[in-house]
Amino acid sequence: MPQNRNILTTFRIRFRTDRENLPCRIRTTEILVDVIHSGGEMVAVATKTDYAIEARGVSKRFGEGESAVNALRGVTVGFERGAFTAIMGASGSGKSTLMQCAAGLDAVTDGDVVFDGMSLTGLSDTDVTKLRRDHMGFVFQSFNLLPAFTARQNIELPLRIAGKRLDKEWFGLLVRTLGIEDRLDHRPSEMSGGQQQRVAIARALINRPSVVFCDEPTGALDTRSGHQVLEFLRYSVDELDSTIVMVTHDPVAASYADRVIYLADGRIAGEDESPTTDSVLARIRTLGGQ
Amino acid sequence: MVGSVLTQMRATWKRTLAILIAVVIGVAFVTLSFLAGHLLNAQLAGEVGNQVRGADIIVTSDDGLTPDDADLVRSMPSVAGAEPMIVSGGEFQHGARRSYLSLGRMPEQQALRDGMQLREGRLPEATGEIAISDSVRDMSAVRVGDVISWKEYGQESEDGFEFTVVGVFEGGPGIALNTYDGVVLPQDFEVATNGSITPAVLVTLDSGSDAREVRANLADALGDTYVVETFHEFVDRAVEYYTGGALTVQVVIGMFALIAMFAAGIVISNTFQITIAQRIRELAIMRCIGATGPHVRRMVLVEAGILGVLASVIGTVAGFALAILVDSVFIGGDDRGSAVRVDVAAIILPIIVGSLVTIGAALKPATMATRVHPLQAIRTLDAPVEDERASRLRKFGSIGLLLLGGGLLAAGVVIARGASPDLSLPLLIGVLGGIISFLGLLIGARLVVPAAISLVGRVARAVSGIPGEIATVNLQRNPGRTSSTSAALLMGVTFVTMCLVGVATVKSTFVEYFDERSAIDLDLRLRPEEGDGESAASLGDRVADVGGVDSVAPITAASVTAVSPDGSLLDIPVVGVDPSDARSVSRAERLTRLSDDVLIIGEFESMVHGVEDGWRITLQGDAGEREVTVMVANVLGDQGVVSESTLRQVIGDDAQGGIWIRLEDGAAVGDVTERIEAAVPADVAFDIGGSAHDREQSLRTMDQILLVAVGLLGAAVLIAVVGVGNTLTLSVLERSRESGMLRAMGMTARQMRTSLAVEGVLLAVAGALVGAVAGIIYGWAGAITLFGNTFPVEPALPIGQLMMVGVTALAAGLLASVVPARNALRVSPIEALASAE
Repeated sequence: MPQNRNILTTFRIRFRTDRENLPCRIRTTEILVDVIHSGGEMVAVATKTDYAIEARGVSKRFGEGESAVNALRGVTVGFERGAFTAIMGASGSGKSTLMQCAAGLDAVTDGDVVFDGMSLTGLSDTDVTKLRRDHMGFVFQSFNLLPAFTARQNIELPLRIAGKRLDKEWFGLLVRTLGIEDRLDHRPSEMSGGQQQRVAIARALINRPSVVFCDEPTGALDTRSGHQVLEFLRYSVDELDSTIVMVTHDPVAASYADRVIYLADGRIAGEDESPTTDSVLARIRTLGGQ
Repeated sequence: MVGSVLTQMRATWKRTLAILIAVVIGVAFVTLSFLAGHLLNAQLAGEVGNQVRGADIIVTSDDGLTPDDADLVRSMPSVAGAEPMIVSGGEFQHGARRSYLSLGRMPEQQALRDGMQLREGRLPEATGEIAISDSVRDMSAVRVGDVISWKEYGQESEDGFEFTVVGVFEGGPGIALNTYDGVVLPQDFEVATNGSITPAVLVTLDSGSDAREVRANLADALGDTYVVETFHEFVDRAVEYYTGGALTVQVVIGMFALIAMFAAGIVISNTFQITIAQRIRELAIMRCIGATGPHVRRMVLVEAGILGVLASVIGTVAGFALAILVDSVFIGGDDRGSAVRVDVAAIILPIIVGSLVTIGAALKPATMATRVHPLQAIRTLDAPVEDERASRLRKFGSIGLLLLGGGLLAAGVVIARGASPDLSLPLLIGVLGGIISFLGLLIGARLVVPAAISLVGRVARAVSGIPGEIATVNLQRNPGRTSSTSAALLMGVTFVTMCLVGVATVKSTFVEYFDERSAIDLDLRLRPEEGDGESAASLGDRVADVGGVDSVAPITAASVTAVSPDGSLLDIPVVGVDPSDARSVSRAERLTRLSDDVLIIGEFESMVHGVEDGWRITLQGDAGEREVTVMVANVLGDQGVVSESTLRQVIGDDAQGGIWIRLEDGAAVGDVTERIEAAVPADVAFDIGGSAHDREQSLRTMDQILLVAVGLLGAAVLIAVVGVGNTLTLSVLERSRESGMLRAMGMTARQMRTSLAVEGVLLAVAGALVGAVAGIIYGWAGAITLFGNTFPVEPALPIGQLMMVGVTALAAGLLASVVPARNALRVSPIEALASAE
């Protein structure tokens, strides 16, 4: 049946998005488009986004037998390069597990995590560690700065662990933007929570990672400090070309993202592009009602 | 409550295992320290007892004994046998060589024969057979199977009695008794000797009789002129004489035990604190559900009590096992029987001390446990903060104790140096000063150790980069814990260094002292009347290239007449040697000051002849006379020394030739003598003498004492490894969140392990550094205090051995980091980070 022969063509398309509800929105995005022609008619179009990290059918089970808990049940999701993605969900929905698996902190039970086109499955602990060291950054709710080191030493730590040289210009830009220039010689115990978290963000960005994972970055902060931190995360995506994956249960925090992925019972329960606080709240209510 | 504590302990046995190990090692160490006295004595007693082993009771007398005294003893109740030990001085001839050999009468009683330590062959069984001592074998070419002839001194007859050598036995050092270098059967002894002496009567008892009781009866019956002792009493007295008094040995043993328990106490306390910290949540939950502070405290103390007793029993058994091992491997090695005596003190005391120290060490952690707030069940514990005021108190207290102790130590040294006749006062002051200043050092460890760590840390950072930096910074976060951890090792290292430096100092001093009195290693004298006219120079040439020979000097021996200033005449045997040759061959510094214008004469001879240092006397002989200056120095026993040309000037050519030989340091005397004999034709007749054998044996004894001391390093290091390991474990636990973050940030498993290894090594090396400095000072001070009034003590520094201590400390630190590193890596980054929430 020659008329049924399918022809597949892939296009690489660059375009600019222009979002209105937030400042500094103009940026370039590159997408790949697969077009399938059949008998002269275009029958299908599929877009392939450039993902920093992809989870492909990832399952994660804790424990064995009767008491086993399935934290993730076949999650497939990609985190776009140069985008700010939020993962939301109730406690126990698997959102933190998804992040940990994506970051190679935990091994998946089933499925695959692909980083820059490379599968993490089967890599040794040392290789995954080096991958994290060179290409990932982390920001946690409880800051996790080393108490014995000054802010400067904490920020430089990832480079020193990797044995890399400090890019002074980048360091200067980060600490200026984060407003922690005058706290650099203080130890964590001498800083406020907001300042500590900003130091932690600088530490996460210092080695220009491909992706920064944030686990409830505003969870331990007051509203004002939390807002500052989120502003900076947004800024780093827009102006510093960062890729951010943030786990949160706060709709306000989620509204700073380009895209929100909702998890429930270890499965993807929905997705929002260009979320607002209200849209997130509305979606959560719907999910809660299911 | 004991029941519930036991249930708890069973449930958490892994946690209590760390404490158990610390206590077991500590108590084993204490037991070993108690037994070390036995071992140390056995070391010396092994040699001292050689003359009389097998006898249950030894009778001696300052007035001398006769063989008939044995008959007197034999008639006493419970006495199985009594016989005189009889010796007689003489010389033996082997081929063309002749040398001194004191002959002994072989004991008749089987127990005494069994007591002789055979090195080779067997004891004489038939007439015409002889067994010789190892020292005769080492200093001559006589071997089993050879025939020698022996002649008593003062015997008129030309020929000696011929004996075939059938065995070699271990000789005695001749400290408590006159010794013999060869034994023959009693019937041979009767024939060969005339003017013998009886140093002792050796008594064996009926089996089952109490030696002490019989000893008391014998002493009563024999009266005051006799000294009646059991074998152990005899050996102890001889050892005491040898070691300069029981006080020294007791002080050393006491310090062993004190240090052992102190180190163990520190480690036990640290370990308990760790287990408390590990179960803070558990304790807090107990508080939540209503347990009172005192209840929690009692629980900790009961646990400590149970552990203490259990571990002390195991430790005591382990200590005994270790002592027996040390004895059989390093000291025994023959059928002498184990030196480890089961005495009640060595069993009961370590158990009591171990249990008390365990409970005592648990007091602080128990109080810590009562301070656990119920809220900590749901919150994490903040790192403790050092109290400002306490730290200032600590600083001043430590400096005060250091000054006071240092002052006392110095006072002890000064008093001892001031030739005080009684050592006990300076020793007491010195030991007190040592203890006080060391206490000051331990308290001040919190000030000194962090400083040492930042010093060593700089090296670590340079070598290992970020892991080293993290390790250094982590160690400085909790100076209290850091210092108390390295205190255990500090203690061990201080002690070992003290022993090493002390023995090295005494040894170098002793060697110098010994060298001044025993200038010549081997002293060969030609017997031209029997030989083929070999000259001293040609003999020297034959011997010079023999392996183990350092240098050779030809000498001339003759008798000269000295005219003292008051006109009296005296005959002195003298040796003539070229002064420059004397310098190369002599070990005595004073012999190197020989010149044509000097006569060196021994102290005893100077007293006998009434000649004093600095006198001008005239030497007369067949060829002429010459005036010389007297120099009194014990370099060559009863012979004087003049220069070769001076001797020629006085006596002409009619003199006996010979050579002096200096051996290479560390050369085996027996082997070298054998090679010399082989290098010289058999028809060249010479006598062989010199102090090489005595010197070798004395140095060996010192080395063996050192070995016992260094053996204790093993225990100290073990305790330190447990201590350092425990602290690291606690640190790992407290820092699990940070470790998780570091892992998330990309710190590899290898880097984590490195960081902990550096932490362990820093802890150990810092403690070792401070301990080494303290130990060197104590070692010097101790050596001067103990021997300062006997010898001019020269402080020595055994660099090589101290390096070994450093390497051991380094290895200990590395070893201690293995388990904590495994724990740290077992916790996944997620768990670590999750525990924060």
